[in-house]
Amino acid sequence: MRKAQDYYPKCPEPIIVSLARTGDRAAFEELVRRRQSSVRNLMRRCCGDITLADDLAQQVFLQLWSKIHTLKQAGALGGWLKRVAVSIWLQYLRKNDALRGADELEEPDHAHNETTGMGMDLDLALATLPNTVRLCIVLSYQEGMTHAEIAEITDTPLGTVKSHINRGSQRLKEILSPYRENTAEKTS
Amino acid sequence: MTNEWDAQLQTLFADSKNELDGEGFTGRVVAGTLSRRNRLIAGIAGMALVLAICIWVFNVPVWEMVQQVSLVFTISLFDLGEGWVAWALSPVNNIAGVLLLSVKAIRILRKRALRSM
Repeated sequence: MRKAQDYYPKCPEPIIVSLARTGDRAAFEELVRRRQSSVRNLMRRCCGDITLADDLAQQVFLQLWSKIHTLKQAGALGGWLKRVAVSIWLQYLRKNDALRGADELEEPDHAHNETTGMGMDLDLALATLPNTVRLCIVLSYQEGMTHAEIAEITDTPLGTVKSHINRGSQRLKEILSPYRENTAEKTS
Repeated sequence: MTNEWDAQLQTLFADSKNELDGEGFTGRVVAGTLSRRNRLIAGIAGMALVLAICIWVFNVPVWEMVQQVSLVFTISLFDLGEGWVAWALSPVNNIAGVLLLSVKAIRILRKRALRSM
């Protein structure tokens, strides 16, 4: 006989969230399985270090498990996870990276053994941006968030967010110009 | 100014997205929730043990101890008489109030200091 948990992969997410809220560990596991890729990718883009990104993503899901009862709307899980991920990343920066200059450009970190090709080059290009600029760029281009949403989620003035995104975009365009030419050829 | 996305950068980000295999990661997260629960249980058990030892060693009933502590915390710092001023300031005119406000102030200052870094 099949168990109820066997049907979880086919269940709509709001139902799984509701089950996880009752303390159903199998439902929570299913949620992690569904959402892990987006949270880990967000963290990887933010910190550029696969191991650290996975540790931080794990913290996001542990926080989800301990605070899932506070999630009022089951459909709001994606936004909630994004918010917690950003908050955990900012906390990490405050604790461990406070002495790093916010405006200086950094040397690329070469610890990207899992990504290849364009993804790797994008990671290397992102690594040259200051942390705050990189976060705004990732939230804007990878997560598709508006400037106002980024300002709200990062607790940063809207003008600063806009300037970070302008600055970061310019920098990325310079570094990734060979790929840009390729994509321009593809689109034309 | 509207939200402007550079089309080519958008394409680059979209093309470089990859779906990560999550079996190992999911297992680690679930194991983490279990160890967190075990730590919580161990913490509560430890606190209960310490409390039991304190009661046994000092031979003081817990209720009496709580009363003594709350008595100390509610001692008025300044004699303001019986008027409405004394009544209005009573929540902060004691050791507990001052301690609470100090902790709050320290937390706010710490947050500001961290943000400015």
